[in-house]
Amino acid sequence: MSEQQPPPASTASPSPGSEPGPGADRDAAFQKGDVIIRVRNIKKSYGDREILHGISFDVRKGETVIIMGGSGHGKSTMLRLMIGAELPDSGTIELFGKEITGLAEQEMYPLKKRFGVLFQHGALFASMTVGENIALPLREHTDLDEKIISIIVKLKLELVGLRDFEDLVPSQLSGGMRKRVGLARSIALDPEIIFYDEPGAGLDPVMLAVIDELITGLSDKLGVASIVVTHEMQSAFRIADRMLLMHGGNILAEGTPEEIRASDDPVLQQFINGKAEGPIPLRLSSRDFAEDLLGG
Amino acid sequence: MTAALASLGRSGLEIIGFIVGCVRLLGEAAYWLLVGPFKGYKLRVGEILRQSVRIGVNAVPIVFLVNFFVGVTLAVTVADILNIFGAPEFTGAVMGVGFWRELAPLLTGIVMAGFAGASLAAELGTMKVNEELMALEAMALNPVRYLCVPRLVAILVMVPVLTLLGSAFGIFGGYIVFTALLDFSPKAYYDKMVEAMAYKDIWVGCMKAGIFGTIVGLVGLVQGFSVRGGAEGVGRATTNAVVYSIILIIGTDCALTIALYF
Ligand SMILES: Nc1ncnc2c1ncn2[C@@H]1O[C@H](COP(=O)(O)OP(=O)(O)OP(=O)(O)O)[C@@H](O)[C@H]1O
Ligand SMILES: [Mg+2]
Repeated sequence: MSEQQPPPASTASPSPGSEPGPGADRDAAFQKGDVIIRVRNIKKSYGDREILHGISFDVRKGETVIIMGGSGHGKSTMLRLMIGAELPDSGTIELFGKEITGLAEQEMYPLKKRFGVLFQHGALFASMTVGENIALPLREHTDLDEKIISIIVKLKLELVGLRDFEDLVPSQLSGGMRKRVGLARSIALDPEIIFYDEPGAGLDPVMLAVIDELITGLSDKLGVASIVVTHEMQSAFRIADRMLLMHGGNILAEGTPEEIRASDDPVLQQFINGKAEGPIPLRLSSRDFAEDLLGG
Repeated sequence: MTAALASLGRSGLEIIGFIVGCVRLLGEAAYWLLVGPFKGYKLRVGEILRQSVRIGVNAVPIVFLVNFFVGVTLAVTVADILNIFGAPEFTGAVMGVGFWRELAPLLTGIVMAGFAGASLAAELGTMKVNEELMALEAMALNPVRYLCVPRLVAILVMVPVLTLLGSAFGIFGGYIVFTALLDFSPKAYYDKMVEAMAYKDIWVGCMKAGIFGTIVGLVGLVQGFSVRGGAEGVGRATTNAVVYSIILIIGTDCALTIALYF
């Protein structure tokens, strides 16, 4: 990072000209309640297996949307499509009112600076310390002074309860701690949308509640839209404005937490109550088990 | 039989995909190196220096050992034969031309395939497996600009430098044999070497080294990018990086030697 010469202290705020910092190209037109993510008819296959059969939903500014669904039913895939890491086979995805499928890489950059992503396994840079991980987007995308960056890094770490761990490297952290550092990094640039892939996995109940408060706080105070993939039902009902159940490549149910709880859909009920017995098949295989065993 | 053909076809496709990958990476790296800085995408100068130390400086001991030992071996063999014709001092000529132009680039290239190529493939592959590459892209950072350009520039500069050092080490090995073991005069060794060499020998050597360095860098990075699956995929990519670079280096060397000799 040594080439990043800190600019004079007077340019502590993102400079307009060169690289747009957070907020530089922010669209003031987005009001609370405006659709900030629009997903329409998304289909995606890997090989000849279609994972998503035509997914459509909207996310509004300031809203926290929970995506639930069985393991392997395409939740992470849907997230990867929404952040432009992969292309859908068909369908459209709009972020901030801009169609992203087919957008050139450099046209996508201004949008990418406006959202943050927490990956399922944290995806911290192993060669950097915790502090450097969080500072990276700030150093690359803003003209902030090193002193300010260091303050922001401490603030973000404090939010996830890891202020004392700034100088450790990811391999010295536990899985849950890595997750929290990943979360701190994803909010470094004060994004307008945050995608969370299982933020609660590997966290203890207390930490889970802390993270839940963080997510709702960002949404209530700053109008951040959150898309949260999670298996933690208690936490899901705590933070959700709306919930989607992905099942077999479709959205099986969608509604407010109250609507979801009140629904009599057997799949939904089996899922939110965590029962082994019910209509949800144990496996994703379409072939009969006996046939598989005997047919060779 | 059909299974064998199918697997042959698959590996054929894989190799074509691999070559296309190398060419594409070279093109993208050239874009981020030459065009990017004018579009506001800074070159990571500090990272280039850091990688030069990692790839270049750390490799000096092993480049020394390999070139020195081959120098000793070659000098013993050659001096013995030349002595039969009563012209042992021509050992200096063989060592000079041989190392500057042929042996040092080749040996250093092969050493670097193991030293740098393997570590690049393992590093990038692990980053791919840990979703670090996806995280970079999600942060609006291009992995080629951010990771590949500093590594490629470092290796492109360091392999020729190491090759020059390697030549010196190899010739030094020959010198030890010539003077200490065989008890001939140092001056004869040096005079014959200077007499036989042309500047062309040195720049041909450097050019080869640059090409070999590029091969090692591209192959290592492309193998890293193409990792699938977990640790096993990283292991396979690392092996492939070394094997492919060594084959490509020796093949290119053969072609260049023939093409440039006359
Ligand atoms: N790169 C890929 N290549 C091939 N198949 C893939 C790939 N990524 C995902 N899949 C397949 O897509 C399906 C959905 O995977 P995804 O990771 O989206 O599931 P998920 O809903 O996030 O599951 P989990 O809750 O376990 O994280 C899986 O069956 C998986 O095998
Ligand atoms: Mg997942």
